Amino acid sequence: MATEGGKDEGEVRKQKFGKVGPWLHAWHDPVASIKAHSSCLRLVDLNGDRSNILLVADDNKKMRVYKGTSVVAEHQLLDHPVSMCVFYTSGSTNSMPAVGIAGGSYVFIYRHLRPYFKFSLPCVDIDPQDESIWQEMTSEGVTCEAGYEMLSQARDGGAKLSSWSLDFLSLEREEQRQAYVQAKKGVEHKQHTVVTCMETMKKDHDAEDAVSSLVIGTENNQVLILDPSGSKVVCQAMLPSVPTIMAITGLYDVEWRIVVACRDGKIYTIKNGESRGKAVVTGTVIELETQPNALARIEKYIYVTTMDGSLSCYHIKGRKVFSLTLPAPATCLGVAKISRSRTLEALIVSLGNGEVRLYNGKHMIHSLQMDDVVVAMRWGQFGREQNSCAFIGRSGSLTLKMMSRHANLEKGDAISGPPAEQDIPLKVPKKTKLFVEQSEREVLNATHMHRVFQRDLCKLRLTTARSYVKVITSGEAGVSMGGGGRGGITNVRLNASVVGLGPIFNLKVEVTNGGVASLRDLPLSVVYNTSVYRSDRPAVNIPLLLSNVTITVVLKLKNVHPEGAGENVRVVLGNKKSSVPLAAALITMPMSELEE
Amino acid sequence: MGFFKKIQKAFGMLRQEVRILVIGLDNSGKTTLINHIKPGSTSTFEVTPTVGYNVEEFSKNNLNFTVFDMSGEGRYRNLWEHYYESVQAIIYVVDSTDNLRLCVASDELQSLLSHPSLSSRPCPLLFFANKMDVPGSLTPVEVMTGMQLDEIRDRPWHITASNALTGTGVEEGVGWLSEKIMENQERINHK
Repeated sequence: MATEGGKDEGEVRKQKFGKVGPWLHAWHDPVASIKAHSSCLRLVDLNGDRSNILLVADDNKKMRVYKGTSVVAEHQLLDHPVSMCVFYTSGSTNSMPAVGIAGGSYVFIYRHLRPYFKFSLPCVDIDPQDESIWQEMTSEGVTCEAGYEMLSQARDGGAKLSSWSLDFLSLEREEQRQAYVQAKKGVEHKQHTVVTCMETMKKDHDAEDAVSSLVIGTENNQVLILDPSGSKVVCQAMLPSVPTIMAITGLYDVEWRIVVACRDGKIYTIKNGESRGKAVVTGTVIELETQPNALARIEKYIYVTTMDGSLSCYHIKGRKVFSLTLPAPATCLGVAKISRSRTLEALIVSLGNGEVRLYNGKHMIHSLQMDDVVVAMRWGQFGREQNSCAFIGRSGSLTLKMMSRHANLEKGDAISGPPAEQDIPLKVPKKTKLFVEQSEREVLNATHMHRVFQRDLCKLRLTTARSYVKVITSGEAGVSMGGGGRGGITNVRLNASVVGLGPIFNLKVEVTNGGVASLRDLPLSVVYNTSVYRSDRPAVNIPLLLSNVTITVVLKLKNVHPEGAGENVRVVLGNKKSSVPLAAALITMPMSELEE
Repeated sequence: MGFFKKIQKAFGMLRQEVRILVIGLDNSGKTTLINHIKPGSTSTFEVTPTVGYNVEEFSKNNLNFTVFDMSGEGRYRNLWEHYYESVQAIIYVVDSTDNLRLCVASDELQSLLSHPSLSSRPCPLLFFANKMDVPGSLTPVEVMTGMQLDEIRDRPWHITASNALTGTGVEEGVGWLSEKIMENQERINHK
C-alpha cells in the first residue's frame, strides 16, 4: 500500500474532494457493510440541534446511527425491517421524533432510540368456512382426516384460507397433522397480516417537525393510517391488490392523496373521503406494462420506473406525460428538493449500471458514474448541509454527496429525446409550375400512362431477348446456343486469357461443354493480324469435348511488331458441319516487351 | 497626499480605513471570532445564527477596521459576492470539526477565487481552522489539503488554527492580516 499512498497525491485529493457536475463528494466508506433499501434510510434531526443524523435500519436486524462520519449508536432490532419512518407525535417545539420500524406484522416504535411501544396490525377476518372447520376439529367434532378433506375442498373451491389451514394442509403425515391440531387446541384462531410498506403523513401543517402519523400498507391489500401516537388506526382503505410502494402528499386534516403502486403492476390513488376518517380509492388506475420498482411524486406528476428499464411520468389524473428509456433498469428513485430563491424539485434516478442521473422533468441535467451500483438513497439534510444525499452501494458501501450551491439545475446540458436537428425543416425547393402541371397530368391520365409504360417495357424486353438470341446463334459471344450441326442444342463456353509479358504470349483457352451431348472434332483457331503476331500453330483440333469437362488449350503467339504494339485477337471454336462458329472470344492483347 | 496627512500618518495619527469580509459556512464561528478580534468587547458564549449580515467597526493595529460579518447559511451565501468589490481583505472561517462539509467550504472558496471582482486583485486571504479545541478536529494542514489551498498562487494567504471561544490563534491571524494590508497600501502609495 506504500506505493499507492505515495502515488499521485493530487489524484487522490481530486477523488476525495472532487466536484463532478453539481455533486460535491463529501465522504465514502467502502466497508460500511450496510444492507438496506431506500425506505430503511432516513435523515433526521434526532437531537434537536439542527444537525441531522443518518438512521439506517439494516437488513441484518440492526439499527445504526451515523453522526457525521462515525457510527454513534447501534441497536439490535427484533425483526427484519421492512421500512423505517420518523414521525413527530406532538406539536410542541423541540419535540423529539419517534422512529417507527416495521417488521413482520408489527411496527416497533422507538423514542430516544429506545424501544417504546409496539403496534400490532389488526387481525384479519377469517373465512367462516375455515373458522368452523377449525372449531370442529379442535373440539373433536370432526376427525383430523375429515377436517383435512374439508379444508382441501374449501381450498379448491377458492376460499382464502388462514395461515393455520395452509400450514395444516402442507403437512404430509397423519401423525403430524394430529399433532398440529392438538397444539392448536385452546389457542384463539387469529390471522395476522404483514407490513409491506410504510410512510408518514403530516397532520395539519407542512413543516420538517410537524406532527405526522404512520401510513402502513399490508399484505391483505389494506392501507392503514394511524393516529400520530401510533396506537390506533384512524382511517383505512382496501385496494384490489397488495400495496408495495407509496407516495404521500397533503395533510391528514385538510386534504391528502396517497399514490400506491401495487403488486398487480397498477398504480392506484387513495384520497380523503367526504367525511373525516374516510378514504376513497379513486377510479384513476394507471396500468403499467411491467412491474414498477420505484415511485416518486413531484407536484402533480407521478414518476415511476419499471423493470423494463423505463422511466415514465404520469399526471396525477392518470394521463401519461412521457416515457424515457434508460440505459439500464433503475434501482431507486429519489426527489431532490432544493430550496433557493424558489424551490426546485429534481428527480434522482440510480441505474443498474452504476449511474446516478438527475432529471428536471424529462430533461437530464447530469449523470454521475458511481463506483458501485446504488441500491438505496435518501436525499435530505445531513449534518448541517441541507442538500445532501446518502447512497448505499450494492457492496454495502456508504457514500455521501452534497449538491453545490452553484449547480445549475434549470436546464440540462445533455440532450435527451429527439435530436434538435429533427425540428430544422429540410431545404425542399419550391414546387415549379412544370412540376405542378406534370403531377396534375399524372393524376388525370394515370391509367393511360401506366399502360404506355407497360407496353414500352414489354417492347424493351422483347428487343433484348431478340438481340441475345441473335448473338448466341451467330457464335459471336463466348457462349453459343445451337449452331451444332446435328440439330441438338449445344452450349459451349469459351474463356481465354493471356499469360506472359511478351514478345511470346501464351493464350490460355478454356473450353467447356455445358450441353448434355458430347461434341467431336472441334477446330479451335486463333485469328490475328499477321503483321503483328506470328504463331507456329494457329489452329488446334479438339477431338472430343465431353459434357461438363473443361479442356485447356495453350496457344503460343509471338509479337513481331517492331514497337511491340498490341492488337485484338480472336479465338474461334469452329464446327466441321457448319460455317457458323460454336463460340468465339475477342482478346485484348497487352503491349509487348521488346525482344532484346 | 497632502503634507499634513503625510506627517499625521508618520505619527500614526491618521488611521487607515480597512474593510474586511468575514465569510465561512454556517456554524463555523464567524460571529464568535469577530467578538474576539474586537478590542474591549466582552465575549459572549451565546451567539445566535446571524441573519443576513452584521457590520462591526473598531480600530486595531493602527487600522480602522470595518468588518462585515456575513451569515453562512445556504440561503444567505449569495450575499457574499456583493461585498467582494469593496473589501481589502477576506477572512474565511472553516469549521475544522466538520470534515463532511469541507467539500462545500472548498466549493464556496473556488467560486470566491474565480469571482471577477477578486480574480484580478491580490487581496489577502486569511483562513481560520476554527474549533481547534474540539477533539478529533482537523489540523490546519489537513484543512489546507482538503480545501486545496496550496493551489492559490495569485494572492497572499495564511492559515491558522483558532479557538474562537478563548481567542487562541485569533491575534496571530489578525496580526498577519494587518501586516499584509499595510504592505498592500504602501505599494499602492509608491505607485
